[in-house]
Amino acid sequence: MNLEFNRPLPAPARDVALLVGRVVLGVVMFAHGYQKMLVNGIGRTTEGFETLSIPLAIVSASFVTVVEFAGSVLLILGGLTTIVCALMGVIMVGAGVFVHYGNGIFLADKGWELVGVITVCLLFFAAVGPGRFSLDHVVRRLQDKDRRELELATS
Amino acid sequence: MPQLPAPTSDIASLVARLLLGIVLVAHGWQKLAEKGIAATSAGFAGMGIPAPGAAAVFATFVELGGGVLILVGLATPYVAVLTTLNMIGAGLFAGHWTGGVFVAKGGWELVGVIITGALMLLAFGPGRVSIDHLLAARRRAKEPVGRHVRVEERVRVLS
Repeated sequence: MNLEFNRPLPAPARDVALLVGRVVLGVVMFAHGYQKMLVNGIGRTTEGFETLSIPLAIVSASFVTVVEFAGSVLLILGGLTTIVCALMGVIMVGAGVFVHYGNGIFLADKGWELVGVITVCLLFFAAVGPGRFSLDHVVRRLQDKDRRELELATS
Repeated sequence: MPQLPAPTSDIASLVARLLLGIVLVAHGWQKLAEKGIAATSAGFAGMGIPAPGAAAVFATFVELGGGVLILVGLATPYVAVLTTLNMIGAGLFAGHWTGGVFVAKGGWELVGVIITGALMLLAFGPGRVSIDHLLAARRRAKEPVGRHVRVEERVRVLS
């Protein structure tokens, strides 16, 4: 039996998987951002952060809300993916430190499994990039085209 | 395409696998040792899951065994598919898919992000710090021709 381990899927399937994954995580993050921005509002979100004794509650609440709200849209579109993943990673570590890490793994005990698995997705997206169906890919192609034309013009 | 360079991306894959593996092992261990298969099966029956005994064994086996395999990076594509099926089932029978996003209200966010993680493992493999990679490298070393093909493929993937 010739089992092909550790072989990635072919390129089109990889790009589709990345698109699906980005949309799923993007929707999850957007739901949280939407809740903080429009359902609760930054004011009540800040109060919530204060009761969790998160330092600089107004600053951290604003940061988290904006990154979740706007970052999730960028994640779905595949724009600035590495930066968005890094910023969301900071939020997940913060949520872990201030809320979840001390409570074990299970969500039923307010444990870290959700922030942990969101971190898993962020690490993968940062590691492999957003794939072909993304703004980053479009921008990269336009930049390459510009560079080629410039080289042609100057040669 | 913006992506992390090779050593960093392998470390990112490793850390991601450790986190995902620990979460899955915790759920499998809870079903096997803390609650026991019988109680898990009874719980599944109460949720209206068909063949609750078999389903409980399947879920326990996939979560505990699959979690360990994800940790060490062995048989990754197969584990990724089984984990995805397990999570789709959990979403269906626990009503997560129709419960909105938030897990606090019974929503799908946790099963959704676990599926996303499994999907990424299926699509990109476990990275170089894995038994799968070790086995593939060992086999390639025995096939000098195949080795060149794989190097070309890797170059194409990275460019």
